Amino acid sequence: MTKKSMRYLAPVLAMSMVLSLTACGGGDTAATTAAAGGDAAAETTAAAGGDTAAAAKDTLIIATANETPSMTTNLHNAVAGDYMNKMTHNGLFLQDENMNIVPDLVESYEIVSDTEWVFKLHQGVKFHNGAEMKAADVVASINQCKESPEVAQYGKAIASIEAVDDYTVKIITDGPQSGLLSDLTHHGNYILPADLIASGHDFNKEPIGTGPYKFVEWKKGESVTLEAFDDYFKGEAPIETVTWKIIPEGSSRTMALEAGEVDLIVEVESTDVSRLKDNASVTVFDGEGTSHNFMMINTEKAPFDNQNFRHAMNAAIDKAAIVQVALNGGGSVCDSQLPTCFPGATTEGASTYDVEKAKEYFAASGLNAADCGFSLICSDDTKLRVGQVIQSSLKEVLGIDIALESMDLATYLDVTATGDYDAAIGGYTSSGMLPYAQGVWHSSSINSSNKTRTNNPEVDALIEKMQATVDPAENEKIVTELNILLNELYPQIPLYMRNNTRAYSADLKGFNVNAGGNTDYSLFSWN
Amino acid sequence: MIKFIIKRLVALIPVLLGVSLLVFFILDLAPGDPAKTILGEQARPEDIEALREEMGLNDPFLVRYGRYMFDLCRGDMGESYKTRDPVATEIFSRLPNTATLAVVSTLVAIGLALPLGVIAAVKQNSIFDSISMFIALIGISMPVFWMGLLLILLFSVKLGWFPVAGADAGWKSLVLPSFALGFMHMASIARTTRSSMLETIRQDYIRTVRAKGLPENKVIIDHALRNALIPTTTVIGLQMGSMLGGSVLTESVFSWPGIGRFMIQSIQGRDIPSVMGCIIIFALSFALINLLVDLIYGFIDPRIKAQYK
Repeated sequence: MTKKSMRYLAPVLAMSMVLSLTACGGGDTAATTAAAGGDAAAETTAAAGGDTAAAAKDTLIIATANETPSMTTNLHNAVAGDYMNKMTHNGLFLQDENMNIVPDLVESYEIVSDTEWVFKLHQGVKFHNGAEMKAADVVASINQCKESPEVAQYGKAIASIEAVDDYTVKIITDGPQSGLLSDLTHHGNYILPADLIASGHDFNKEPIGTGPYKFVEWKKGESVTLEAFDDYFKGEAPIETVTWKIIPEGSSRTMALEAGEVDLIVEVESTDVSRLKDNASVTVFDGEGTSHNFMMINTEKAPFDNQNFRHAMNAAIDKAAIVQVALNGGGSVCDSQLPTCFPGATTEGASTYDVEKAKEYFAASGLNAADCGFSLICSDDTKLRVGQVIQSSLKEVLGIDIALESMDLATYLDVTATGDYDAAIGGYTSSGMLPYAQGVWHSSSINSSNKTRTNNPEVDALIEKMQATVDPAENEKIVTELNILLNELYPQIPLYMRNNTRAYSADLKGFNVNAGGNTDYSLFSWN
Repeated sequence: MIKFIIKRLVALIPVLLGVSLLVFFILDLAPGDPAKTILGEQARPEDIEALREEMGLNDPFLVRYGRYMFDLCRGDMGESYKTRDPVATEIFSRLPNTATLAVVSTLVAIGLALPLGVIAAVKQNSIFDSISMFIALIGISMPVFWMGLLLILLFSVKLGWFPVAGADAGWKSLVLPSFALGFMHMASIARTTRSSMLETIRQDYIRTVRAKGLPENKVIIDHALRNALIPTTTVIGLQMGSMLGGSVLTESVFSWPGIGRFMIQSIQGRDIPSVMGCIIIFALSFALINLLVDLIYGFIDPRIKAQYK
């Protein structure tokens, strides 16, 4: 190499050296400073013990894909917001690990009549501002929920609410309401201080609740930090600080957990699950969820108005392949028209994957394959993979050609609600059978969440009966009856129940998540 | 010079008006209802209607646009449909992150591109030229998200030198995203520098300074490079302008809390005030960067400066 060439190469080499030195320098500093930094956290996970580990044990860093739109309980209906609200607030009731609805701020309750409920509140429950929670706070919070469009649907069952005394609340429902307690578990009905509601306090900037964690800081687009509330009525949470970090990219979340930069991932990329399972310092939870996923079809349009054709499609689709291809095994095949995770659900009368049966149903439908092509909307990558399996199954078994159509979420929500579509991959996650049935099947939900546009008086009547039947055993019988009827009508093609998957540091104790995806982070502690 | 700057700033007003009207109109035409998107699939029609009324979405297009522009002229960018926070707060909490990433990435891009471009031109058709242009080719053809994931895998997961995500670890948070973004932008700057340098070093005055016995590095840096910098500066300006509008993929891969990701989420949610705010800031940044580039031309070439009247 000549002197001249060296002269020109020098700046490039110098640049490379500077970058290398910069990089090297980073490592050292990371090891000494970061409680939240990559290196230090990685060591804690691996080596449970030592000074660094002890320092890190007070903090839990959770990675999530989506940022909450608001910290205010009644101004959003987003899952990401629900995660935050559960940290800082309580409702009168909650869903426990087994999806049972159990009292939270309520000590006991009495069903006085079909429409009158009386709730005794826990005494001595403190808000984060030090004030004691009383019946007036419950009344103000629930009335606020009824008036907020974002969450009003969770207050519609309540005709009126009044404070009997400081620790007793009476609710009069709008007719018998079996879903009342389920509605009271929703964040829209979480309890806020009445005086702050009246004064127009900005709960988004300073959320005040009775929850296990107090709000500290929200760095927009980046993170939300919370600290344990000393006076939490169920006892102070073992982990002092919890930080929710927004990491939108799935692979980056996985790598952040592998690097020890975060301790728990809420939304695990299905393609990364097997890799994480092989990692000794990570535990992967994969349990059945309440997310019922299906191919919605517009039953007002041909050929979907043909019941035999609907059964034919269902019997032709290889759902096991969908679970494998689209979810990497993170789910289970579903043939029932109602989510199988709730009591009373049944597959009785439902058609299952059976190629010969599919051909029989198709022959009985009297349709020609050439006239049955349709467009299937897939609004994200997972749904596109689901659509590809359906496309291949229908072509192979029935000779039907379908086109896959990509669409952004806002457009998808619009066209499917208004019925301006043929078919779409969709899903519905619900805290109970009643809200699911009302949302997906009742004719009053046409033009919103009843996307198959099912308008069947018998179905409506059963849902209304379910709503009015408070006795759980009787309610379950109605669910079964409704499920059998829907399995016969087959207004949509159920595909799978999606699992709740979480990945977390193996040193984390007290992990819990119920089928609805709810976690009580106040039970977490470090090994 | 001052007169030139004022003239350019005044010319910004019709540009911003045109951009705002166009974007508002396109968003109005786009399918999708902000109220439905906010309330989700399970919302009741009456709740959707109540929210539409509350957000003023039932008013005619011109009323909504007029109201928006009236508020904007008073410095109010409106409230985000999604978060209910002022759009200005949403944007200005993210803008410093975007600006930092854009500036550092531009410095990385310039730092890599200028030596590569100059070497490639001076050593045209040599192995140095091939290597330089090969590096530039990698930069331009490697998707930034893939490059980002590779960098994270090596420097964060394997070596643990830099954080995987976020902007909360100070300068260390900045290293990988700025390198990934800078490396991508380096490619076109290097190629422009090379072609511009090739043209310049064939000029008569370069032959003259060489004939006068000036050392080669002085010939290249003081005489050739300075004259070759005009097209390069234009490319740098355009790229920095686009980076100020947010680099969505880089921000997503590195969880960088910048304006790009916010804008995309706002478009997906049909959050019209947020999208409008982002676009206006984007258009303003672009126009100001262009003005800055024009001023830099004057410093590079005094003949251009003389025309700024």
